[in-house]
Amino acid sequence: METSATKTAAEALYNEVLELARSIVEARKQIGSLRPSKLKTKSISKALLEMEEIVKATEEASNTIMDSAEQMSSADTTDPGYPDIVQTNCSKIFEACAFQDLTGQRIGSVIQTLDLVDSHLESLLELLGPDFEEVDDEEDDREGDDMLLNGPALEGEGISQDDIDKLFD
Amino acid sequence: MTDEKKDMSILIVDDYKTMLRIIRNLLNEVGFRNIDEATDGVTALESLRTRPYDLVISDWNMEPMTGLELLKTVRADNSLKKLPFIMVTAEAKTENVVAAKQAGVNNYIVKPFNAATLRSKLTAVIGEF
Repeated sequence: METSATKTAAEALYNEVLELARSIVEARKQIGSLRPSKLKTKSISKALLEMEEIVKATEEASNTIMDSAEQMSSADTTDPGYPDIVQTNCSKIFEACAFQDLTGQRIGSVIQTLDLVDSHLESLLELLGPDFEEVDDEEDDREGDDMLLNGPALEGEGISQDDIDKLFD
Repeated sequence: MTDEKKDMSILIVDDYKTMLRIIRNLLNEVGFRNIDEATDGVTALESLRTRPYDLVISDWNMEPMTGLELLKTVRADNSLKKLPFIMVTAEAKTENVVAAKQAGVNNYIVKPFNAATLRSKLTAVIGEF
């Protein structure tokens, strides 16, 4: 026979489960409003393509500039056509430097995407609440000399050539 | 520059062809004319074991064999262990320089560098030219 106390406890449990279900539905709605699939398929894919184009454009510009510099440095200065060689190659170098404008615009677009990702992550953190505990599963699993590979240092990081030279004195 | 210095065999190693071209041009500018290239440590090691070289100028961050692995392999090889070796890399932390020095590098240039820096390190390693 069901007692009054048992009935109250069952109702309390039912209400808690109902509240939990409502929270989950609300969280799903809010995560959906962040449009993660659009972010992944459109914004991030576009940013990756922009980065590839930046690498390509800087490489092409470097090659054009070096081609011109090599042609000028190997040209015979006594050749009557020497001034024309210099003029033509200087023009090519100026043209190649236009890459900076285009890559600047592409980098601007990538920065916009990163800002968007940043604001989406901020919204997600707000949604998860202050009690959310992060699981740190991205430890650096590199070992030995591989841990020394970190790429170019940012300004203020790393040591200067003068400091390096002192280590060889 | 003496003919002896001009004829020095130099192997430059970098996975970026643009950087190989920059170093080659700078070396040509100061008079070196016997320069070979490799784009990773494995290829460089094959070249070093195929013909004699007087100097290696190598990047660090390359696949499948890094510049540091190449340096260690060279120093562990009886026929190559005395080969002058300059590291040219963007890795600019103290621990990098210390690790390279412990492995036996003769000098260390941090990217980006200029012609004067390359020249002074070459002088430090192979003498005046």
